[in-house]
Amino acid sequence: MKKVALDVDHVSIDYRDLSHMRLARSFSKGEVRKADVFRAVNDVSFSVKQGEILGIVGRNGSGKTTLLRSVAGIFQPDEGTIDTHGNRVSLMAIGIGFNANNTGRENILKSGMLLGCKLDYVKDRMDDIIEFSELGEFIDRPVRTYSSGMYSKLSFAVTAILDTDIMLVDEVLSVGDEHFRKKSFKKMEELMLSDRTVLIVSHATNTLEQFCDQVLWINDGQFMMLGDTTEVLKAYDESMQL
Amino acid sequence: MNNTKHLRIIYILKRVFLVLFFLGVATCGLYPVANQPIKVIVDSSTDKYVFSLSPAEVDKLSSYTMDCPGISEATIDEIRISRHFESICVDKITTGAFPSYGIIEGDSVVLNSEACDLLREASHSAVLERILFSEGLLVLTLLIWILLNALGEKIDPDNRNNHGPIYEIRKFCSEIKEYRQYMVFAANADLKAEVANSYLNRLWWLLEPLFNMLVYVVVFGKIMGNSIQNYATFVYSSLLMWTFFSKVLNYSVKCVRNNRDIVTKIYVPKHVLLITNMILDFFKLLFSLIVLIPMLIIFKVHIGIAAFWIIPTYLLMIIFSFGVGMIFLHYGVYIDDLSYAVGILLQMMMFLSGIFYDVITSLPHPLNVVMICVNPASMFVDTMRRALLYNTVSNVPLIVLWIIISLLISYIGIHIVYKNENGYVKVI
Repeated sequence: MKKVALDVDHVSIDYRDLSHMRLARSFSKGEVRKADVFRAVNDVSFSVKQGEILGIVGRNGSGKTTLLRSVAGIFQPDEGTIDTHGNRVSLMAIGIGFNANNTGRENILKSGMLLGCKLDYVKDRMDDIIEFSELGEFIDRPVRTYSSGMYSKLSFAVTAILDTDIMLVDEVLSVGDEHFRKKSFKKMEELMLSDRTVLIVSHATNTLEQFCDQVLWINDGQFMMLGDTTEVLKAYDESMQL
Repeated sequence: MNNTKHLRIIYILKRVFLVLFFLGVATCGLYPVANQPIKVIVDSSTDKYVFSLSPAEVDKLSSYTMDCPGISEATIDEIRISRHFESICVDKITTGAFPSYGIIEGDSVVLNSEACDLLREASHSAVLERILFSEGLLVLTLLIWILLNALGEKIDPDNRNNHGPIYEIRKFCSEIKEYRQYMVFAANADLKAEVANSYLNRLWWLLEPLFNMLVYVVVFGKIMGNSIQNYATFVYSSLLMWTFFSKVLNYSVKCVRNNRDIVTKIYVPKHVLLITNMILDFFKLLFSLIVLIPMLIIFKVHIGIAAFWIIPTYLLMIIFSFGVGMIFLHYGVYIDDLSYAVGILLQMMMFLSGIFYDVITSLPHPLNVVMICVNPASMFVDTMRRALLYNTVSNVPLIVLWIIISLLISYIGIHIVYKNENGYVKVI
C-alpha cells in the first residue's frame, strides 16, 4: 500500500469582492456582506497516493485553477484543510518570476530558487534544463528576445527537471512545436513511472485518458465525481454534449 | 473554559492600557512645565564650549557674555541651544546668521538682546519634552500590547488562527533564512536587468543623484541663496538617504502587483519581495557613495570619530522604511490609487523634511522641534549630516526611540501582511 501524498479535506474557497472595500472597514473586523462572497470551490475532498496522477476536469470557471493554487499554498482554503504531508509542491506554470531583461540562465536560477531549491542544486541541474529546453545559445540572451514558444519551453523545462514531490500542471502540456510536445509527453510518461505525484488540469480528455490513474470532475465548484479515469471521463463527456 | 476567561482578562487589559495611553498623552500635552535651565554650546573650528543657564538667569538676560578662551583665533561653526537633552538642539545660530546675534570681543562671545530672546524662548517652551514623552508612552503601550498578545498566544496556541506575535516572528525569521540566497541573487539579477540595454550602464546610478544634486545646489544654493557651508555635500549626502527611502516606499505600494507573475504562481512571503527591492536600492546607494567620498575630500570636510553615528541613522532609515513599506504593501494591494497618494505625499515630505535646508534654523522655534521629533525622515537626515559634516553626535534619545518605534511598526506590518496575504492573489 502506497503512502498518501496529498489530502484535500472538505475544502471550500471564497472570493470576496473587495473593489469597494473601505479603508475604515479594514481596520475593524467588520463582517463581509454575504452578497460579496463568491464561493469558487465548495466542499471538495480527495486524496492522492504517492506516485499517482490525478486529472481534474470541469468547465471553464468551475474552480480548477483555484483548487490547484490552493494546493500549491498560494492561498489557504477558507474552510477545510489541505495536507501535503511535508512534500514540496510546485505549480507548473509559465514563467515563474521571469524577468524579460535577464538572460535565460539567470531566470532559471531565479525561478529555481523560488521553487524552494538551493542555488547549488539548481546550478547542478542547469545543463539538464538547458538541454531539455532546446534553447541552445539563446540561453545566454535576454528572455525578451525569445519567441513565445521558446519562453514556454524554458519554463516547462524548469519545473520538469527540478524535482518537487508533488507537481501541479495547469494546461501547459500544449506548449511548443510538435517535437517539443512529444518530448513533454515523454517526460510526463517518465514522471508517471517515477515516484512523483502529479495533478493535471486539462480540457484535453485524451491526454488525461493516457496519463491519469484517477480523475476528479468538478462543476461550478461542486464536487461531481471522483474515480476511475474512463468512467469519469465518459460521464463528463456526456454532460458536455449539446 | 479557563482559557477563555484568561483571554477575556487579556482583552480587557489591552483596553485599559489603551485608555492609560491616551490619558498619558493628554498629561504630557497639558502638564504645566516650569521654565527649564538651558545649555548654550559654542562650536568653534578648534574647540567646544558649554555654558549652562538657570531659568531665572535667562529671564533677566539682556546681553550675554561667554568666555571662550582661544575663540579669537578660531571661527564659530555654530551656537546650539538645548534643554535637558544636550544632543537635541532646539535652536541654533549658524556662522552666517551670527553677525546679527552677537559679536566676538577678544576671547569672549557676546550675544545681543535678540539672541537672548531666542534663549528665553527655548527656556519657556516645553514642546520637545511633551512630544518625546508621548512617543515614549507610545512605545511602551505598543510593547505591552504585543506582549499581551504573545501571552494570549501562549495560553491559547490557536489564538486568532495562529497570528500571535511569537509564531509570526519565528515564521518571519525562518523565512528570511530560507530566502536569503534568493533575495541577494534576485536583487543582483534585477540590477543587471535594469541596466542591461543602456549605454552608460551602471554609471546612471551615479549620474542620477549627481545631477539632482546639481539642480538643487543651483536652485536652492545660488538662486534662492543660503548660507550653509559646503552646500553641495550637504545636499548630496541627504539626497542619497532620501532617494533610498522614497524609492522603497514608492515600490512597496506596487510591490504585489509588480510581482504578479510570482505571487499568482507560487507562495512567496511578501516581505521577501520588499527586501529584494531594498537590497537593490541599497546597492545603488553604495554605488552613489563613490561620489560622496571625493566630494568630502575636495570640500575639505573634517571627518571625526562622530562620523560613526551615521550607522544608527542608516539603520533607522532601513528599519523604518521596511516597516512603513510593509504597511503600504498591504493597502497597495487593495487600493489602486494609493500609489498616486504616496507619490504626492513623498514629494511633499521631501520639501518639508529639510533635505535642502537645515530644519532647526529654517523653521520658527516650536515648529522645528515638532518636525524633528515627529518626522523621522527629517530627523535621520539631520542627524546623519551633523555626524558626517560637523562631527557631532546629535539626537541620541530620538534615534533610539525611533529605532524601537520602527521595529514595532515593522512587526505590525508583518502581522497585517501575514494575516491578509491569503486574499492578495484573489484581488490582483
